[in-house]
Amino acid sequence: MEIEFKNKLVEKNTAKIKKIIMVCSGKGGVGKSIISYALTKAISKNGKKVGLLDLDIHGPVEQLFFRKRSLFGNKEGLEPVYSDSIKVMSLGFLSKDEPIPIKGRYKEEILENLLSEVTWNSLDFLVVDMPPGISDELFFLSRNFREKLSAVVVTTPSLLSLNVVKRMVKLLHQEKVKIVGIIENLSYFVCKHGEVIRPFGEGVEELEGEKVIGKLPIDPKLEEIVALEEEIDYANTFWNSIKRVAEIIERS
Amino acid sequence: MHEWSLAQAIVESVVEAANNKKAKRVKTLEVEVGSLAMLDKDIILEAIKTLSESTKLEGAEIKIYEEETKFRCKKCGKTWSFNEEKEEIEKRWEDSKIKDEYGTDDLPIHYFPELIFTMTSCPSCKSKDFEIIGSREITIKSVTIEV
Ligand SMILES: [Zn+2]
Repeated sequence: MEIEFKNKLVEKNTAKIKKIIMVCSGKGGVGKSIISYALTKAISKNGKKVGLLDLDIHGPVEQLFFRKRSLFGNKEGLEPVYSDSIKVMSLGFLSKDEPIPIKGRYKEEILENLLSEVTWNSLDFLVVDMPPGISDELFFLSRNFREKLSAVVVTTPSLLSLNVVKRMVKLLHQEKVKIVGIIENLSYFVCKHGEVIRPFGEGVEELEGEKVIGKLPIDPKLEEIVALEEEIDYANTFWNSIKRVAEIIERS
Repeated sequence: MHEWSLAQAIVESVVEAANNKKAKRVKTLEVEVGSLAMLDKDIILEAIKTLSESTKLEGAEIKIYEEETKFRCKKCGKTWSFNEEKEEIEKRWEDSKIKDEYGTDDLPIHYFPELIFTMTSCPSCKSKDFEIIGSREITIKSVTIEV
């Protein structure tokens, strides 16, 4: 008799998470990671218990937003880093700056461990920073968390990005993953004279029947958040837009 | 040091399977531990025994054995074993060890064995394109029941 038992641990360590929000994108470089972090922060500031899981196995960056970076073991597994009222887990905490070349079936196994070993305890929301595109990670989550899973999809207004994101939205529909909405990043900036400029195109209001729930401005101060360890609200135009998106996610 | 929670999941799963098969009791249970995850098999055995008290697993013959994890390079064909380089890896990754409430220090591979791809490479050609042969963590190898 062959018996699988890892799923028991996944169930146990995720049982008290009320909602899991995947932050997906069609392509890389659309700002998915900083948006994941900012959403987590905004939800936390609204008094909710929130966690942030970096599932971008090959390029984890969420650890960079936090000053505390050591993990601790406990009887049940691994305690996420608790920093700034946010629980965080990223392989970036464990791999220094070395490459993480995990492929094929090993990928599936480390994903399972990321959910079976980390003791999140009770959370209102777990925000998941997904790798770009259609990935094993996406199928893994939708297979394991039918009920509490939903997605936000990040795009830029460019035609190329919109085309790829369209496929992503179709896939999410096919997999019956609930979509909270589309986030359009790098949407516009307001110049000195108050004129709104949209350098990457006009963008859209909806895609495949899903509404755009936020258009985020280009905010040059965002880069400094990591470089100078500034608080996220330092990039105030971006932060104000993110707060509104976070409210929509919380109500979803 | 998450041996107890692994043991608990094993006990629950075996008892559940035994119940599903309407077994009177479990006769034998065999668990294989791959050396890569650096799990303490004595603790696992003790934990399984304690946790199976007054379940269908109580009194079963429980065997836990360790299997040496090996690697094979897909580029040059070199085969080597984790145990050969364990000490060296521990030294090189000393600062990434995870402390726990019992005062033990564990390498990240204790929780995520697949991180070995980050921590080592082929000793002869230095490639990361290698595969893991055999057990890397912990698996239930066999269970027999009395119906
Ligand atoms: Zn080689």
